[in-house]
Amino acid sequence: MSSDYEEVRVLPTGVYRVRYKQLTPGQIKALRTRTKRKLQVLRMTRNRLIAELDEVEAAVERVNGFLEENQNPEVDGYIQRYEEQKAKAGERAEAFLRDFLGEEGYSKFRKAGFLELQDTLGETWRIYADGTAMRWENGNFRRVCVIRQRELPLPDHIVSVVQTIREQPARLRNV
Amino acid sequence: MEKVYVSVRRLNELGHETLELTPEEAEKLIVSEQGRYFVVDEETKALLKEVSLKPGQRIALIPIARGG
Repeated sequence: MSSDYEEVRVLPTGVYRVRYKQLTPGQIKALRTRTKRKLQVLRMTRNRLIAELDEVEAAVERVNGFLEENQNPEVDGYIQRYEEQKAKAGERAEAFLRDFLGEEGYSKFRKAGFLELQDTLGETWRIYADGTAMRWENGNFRRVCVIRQRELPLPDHIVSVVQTIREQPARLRNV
Repeated sequence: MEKVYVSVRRLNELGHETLELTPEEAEKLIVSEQGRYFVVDEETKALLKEVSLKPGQRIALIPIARGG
């Protein structure tokens, strides 16, 4: 016979009805087993999280070290030299483009934002200031995909595209 | 003083690499880069179809664009 009972308790936070359930020895054993399992799972979780934390801390150290190595004056100097070299390359390329197109052609190109020319097959092309190439086709200018050589200054790319259209347009057409 | 070298300007990511080469060296360079560059006389802007250079000549190697 069960000796469960219940009572009413008055606490500062409110009035509660509390039920007490008597446990049999079997239920106590089962409860112990469940509690042990739960404790085991919690310990495993704790160990896994500690291991993950160690990995994260090691990664933080690694990334932090990498950042510190890359923030020294030597690296800053290298970046600055590279940027200066790139700027000079851009200036030289712009001067070459001006020379290549001729003063009048260059001036027209910069004013209009594009250059129009015909290839050896009589087809009309437009090269825009951003390096985009378009060909007249069925009543419209259609974009032609041209691969820009890695790091090639934009004015040099434009020279390259113009010269290719003038001499070997098939290089851009048969793709 | 008589010029003995050909000035070769190659357009690349370094920003116009300029080389002073003997005509023979320049011709060898052009042959080795055949198919990758147009060879243009900087004075006349004419495309050089035959590789026959003279001392004092200034040429530019312009990359041939490729479609993608």
